[in-house]
Amino acid sequence: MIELSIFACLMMTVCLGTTAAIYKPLRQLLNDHSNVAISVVLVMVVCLLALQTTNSWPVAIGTGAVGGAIAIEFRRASSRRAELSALAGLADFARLLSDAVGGGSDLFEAIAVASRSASGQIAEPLENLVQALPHIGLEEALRNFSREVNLPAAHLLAAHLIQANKFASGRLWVALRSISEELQTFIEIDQAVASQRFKQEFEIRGLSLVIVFIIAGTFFALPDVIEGLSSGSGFFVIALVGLLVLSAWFLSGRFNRRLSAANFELRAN
Amino acid sequence: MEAVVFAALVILSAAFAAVAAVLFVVPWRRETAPLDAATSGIQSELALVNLSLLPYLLGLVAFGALGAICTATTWSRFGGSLWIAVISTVGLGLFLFIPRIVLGQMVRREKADMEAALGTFQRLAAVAVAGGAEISFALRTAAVVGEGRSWQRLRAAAYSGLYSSRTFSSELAELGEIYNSSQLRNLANLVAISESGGLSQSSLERMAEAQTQHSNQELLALAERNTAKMVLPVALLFSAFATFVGFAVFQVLSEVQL
Repeated sequence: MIELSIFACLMMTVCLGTTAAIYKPLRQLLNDHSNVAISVVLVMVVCLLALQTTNSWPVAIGTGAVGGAIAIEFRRASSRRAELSALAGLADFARLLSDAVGGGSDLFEAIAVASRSASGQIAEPLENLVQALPHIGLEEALRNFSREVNLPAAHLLAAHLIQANKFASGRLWVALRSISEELQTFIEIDQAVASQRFKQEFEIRGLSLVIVFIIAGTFFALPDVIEGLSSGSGFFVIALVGLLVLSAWFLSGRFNRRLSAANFELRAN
Repeated sequence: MEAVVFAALVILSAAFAAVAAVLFVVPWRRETAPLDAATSGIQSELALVNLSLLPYLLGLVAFGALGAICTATTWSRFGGSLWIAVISTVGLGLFLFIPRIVLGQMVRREKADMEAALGTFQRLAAVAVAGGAEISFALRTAAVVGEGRSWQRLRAAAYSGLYSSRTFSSELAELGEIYNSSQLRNLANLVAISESGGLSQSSLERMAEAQTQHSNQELLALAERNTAKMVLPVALLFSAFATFVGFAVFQVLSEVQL
């Protein structure tokens, strides 16, 4: 039965992949949520393999939980890197804009010039911005850009550019320089704090996983000792331990939450 | 029979907690209600986070009932000793404080949001001022840029002066009183000077810079506070491990025949 479930899981993945290769909306959906889909399938397979090996549901659930937690951690780390890269790209873009405007270009030309050297997370949104500029105008194109990047810093940059274009054309480069410096300062603070707390976060999350793994392993390795846990008070202890581990996990995430830039959002119109 | 009653009580408690949570989380009002500096205490805090009194009172009743149910359950299962009575009463009291604590957190978050919005508001206005705009005009143009409750309130303050006898500076001063924010009061004073014909363009730029520095310092201070608080999850993990190992050891020892 378990072998059949593992086989069904893998077959479903293959079928889904094949269908996605042919059917565009499904491909788009998988592209948008590829990490989640892969993680779910992997956790299910790991869970079923553990059940197959040990024939114990608590071990399978524990292993699945550990696998899921590791997948979540990887996802968090990758989205964190992407966000930092986008922030750094935005700061560089603002600096280049300021230099270009200071050299005598108008804002439209400066955006086109500065976007050429952009790379990473914001390269594509900037390309779209440059293409949209002649058709829908600066304000609307910047609104679309900020929605596409979807970071408070991008909204902030767009707001400053709109405001500077309307009212500060004479001192535009000064305004742009200050935006760039502000973003750079924020990134430096963010990175300093992140590196300071990364070790602590790793230890706490790692310890949580070790405890879950020990409990799951105890069910498998020491069934006689753990027999008492199947009583009423045993269930209470297991629930209490689970609650404490979950609370520690939640609190470590809460205290280690990345510094969010002023949660600014550009008004729609 | 006792087990059924216990299960029913637990389900009822969970339902009460769910109702209370929904009352606090769901935004009942879409539009931001006008603030009134004359109100004080709970009502002023509720107005600040755009909640009316009814959800708060319902939350209070729900958590009170939850506490009472827990007290009654503890009493019936563990007997009526003095210690149980003391612990149950303390538990009930703690439950009654939950809505107040949640409201306090919401108010603190609202004030932090306003400070962040104010910093951006001043910087955007400073851009227009650098281009030669007059302060009130620059602030009014900056107020239309952002989204969110704090921005709605800044916008209301900026534009109510155009349609009533109240001035922009008095509106900002009232907001400063309600939010208890020195930055808002300083901005109100600056606008008042500008309204009376004074030149305070460079002051706005300096205030915007000071606000940015203040925000950066706040971020660093928050990071340090959070680092110190990391002791708590470590302690929780240690408790979890100790509980599990302790129970297993207790099981083994209780089976040993002396």
